[in-house]
Amino acid sequence: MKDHGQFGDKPAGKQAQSPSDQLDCAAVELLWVEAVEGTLPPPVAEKVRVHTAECAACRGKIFQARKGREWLLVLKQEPLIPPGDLVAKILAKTAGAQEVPAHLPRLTVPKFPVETDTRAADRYSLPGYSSPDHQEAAIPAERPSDYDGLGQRGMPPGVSVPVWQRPSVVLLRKTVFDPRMALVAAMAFFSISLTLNLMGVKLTRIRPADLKPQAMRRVVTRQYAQANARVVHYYENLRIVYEVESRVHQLRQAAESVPVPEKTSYPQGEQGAGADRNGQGHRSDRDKKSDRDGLHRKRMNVIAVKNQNAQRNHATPVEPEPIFSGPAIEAYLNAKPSIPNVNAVENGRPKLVTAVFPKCICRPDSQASSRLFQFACFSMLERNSA
Amino acid sequence: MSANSDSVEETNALVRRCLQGDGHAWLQVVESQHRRIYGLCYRFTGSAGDAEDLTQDVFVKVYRNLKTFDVERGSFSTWLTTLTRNLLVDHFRRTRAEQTTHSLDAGWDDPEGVSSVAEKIQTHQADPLQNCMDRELQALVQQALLQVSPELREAVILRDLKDMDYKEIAEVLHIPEGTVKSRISRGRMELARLLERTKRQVM
Repeated sequence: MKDHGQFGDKPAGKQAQSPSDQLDCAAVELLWVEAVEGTLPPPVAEKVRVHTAECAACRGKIFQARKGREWLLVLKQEPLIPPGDLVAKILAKTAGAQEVPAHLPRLTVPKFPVETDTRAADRYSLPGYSSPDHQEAAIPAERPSDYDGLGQRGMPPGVSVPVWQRPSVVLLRKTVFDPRMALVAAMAFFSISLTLNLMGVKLTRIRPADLKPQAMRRVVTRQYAQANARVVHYYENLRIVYEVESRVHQLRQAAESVPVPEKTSYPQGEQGAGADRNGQGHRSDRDKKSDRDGLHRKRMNVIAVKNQNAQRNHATPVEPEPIFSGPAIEAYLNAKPSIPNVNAVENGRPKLVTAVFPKCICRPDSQASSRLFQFACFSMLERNSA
Repeated sequence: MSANSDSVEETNALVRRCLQGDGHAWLQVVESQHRRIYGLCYRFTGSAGDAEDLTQDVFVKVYRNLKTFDVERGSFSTWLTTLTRNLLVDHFRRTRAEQTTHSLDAGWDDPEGVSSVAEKIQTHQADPLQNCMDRELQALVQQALLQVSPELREAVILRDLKDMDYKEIAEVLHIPEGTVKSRISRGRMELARLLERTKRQVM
């Protein structure tokens, strides 16, 4: 069956008379229709039967096609009955309504259209069907094309078209009232209304005067300021934010309260020597007094230098003067602050206090503020007396 | 075969008379062909309303383009079927978007085109139960037929429901005869597969 085309244009009888006795699946596929309908010549039918006995795939497909044809016979058993007035409607649209009585009368002389749409003729005529008058027929200007797609396709001029079937209405219905278009429009509407609602714009309160650019700018500015204030107020009232701010402030003050020069103010040799001498890290009273005096002098020098720098550069904040300054004293950190006589001990060890700065954040009615105040009071230059 | 050729000759004679201006001949043409065209449209669309509208459109087209038909060179029935098929293709393309969703009018159309209860009751079968079962079965097959692709559907309808031969179908569909056979086979198999699936769901 090598001489067969893809679709088997040759008749089935010729296919069966080929020299090959065995049919392959491709050849049998071309004979499915005749095999199902039982119109194959007996020799070809026998070859198909032999092949399907061996080939389960072809056998199953032929069986399925036969079942499909049997199903279709169910539809063929009961003939369709068209509506009773269909002929009258057809005649009314073709030969004219006034010539068609209600009970399908005989027409006398139908008015066939003299002018013919050659495009429609080309579309509907089969190859070989042509009329001598075809080439001379003119296309009426007012008649719509048969393939305009929508509207009164093929409607004769005398027949009135309902409003909902007119091209403009049909086009509107197909485009605007399409479910997808309606969905897009609804989404856009909800998005715009949600945005306006979030911005505080109420359409019912808008007046023509509000549409001026200046008024719109003023409204937008006011809305922005109100929204900003609302957000800031909410943010500042968050407890965690306040706690974080407090902790950062504590750390910053702690870092500022331990100046680097003071750590280097004590000569390593003296400190090391004192520790080595006493063995327990204690020093003599004379050494302590000299350390305190030197520490105080260095501290005062640092403050003076900072003030001078601040005067030269206004951008640098001026560190406030200490409330208490003078010779180093022992402070107990677990004691209540009593400025300037501060006595503090941390973990049983006294601390040397040289200055107390009034750095604090005053937040009334808050336990944290009192702690901050205590911390500010004890924000001092200290050094372990160890 | 001779009866078929006689019918073709009779129809062509009617068309000649129509072209000469005989209104009665046009009435005979409409009465003789409107059932077949209506059935073709209904089997393809599955809607009685669409089938009625399309049948009217077909005859309006025929009325307007009858002068282009050459009586001596072909069958009027094939020409009419070609015209109907073209309108069905147009209708399918136009309503493709609507076919993806179920219409709210579904169920209002009378599936068999009969409008009154009396016509429903009036049937050639004496057993109402059998009548009901047949109608249900026809509705199932019709529904499955609508799910077959249009190319296969039109070939199957023309062959199995309208009894056209392969040559006429090839002429109507503008495809080779081998393609017609292939489409018919595949359409039948697809229909059987769909109905088997429906049967498994029901059973």
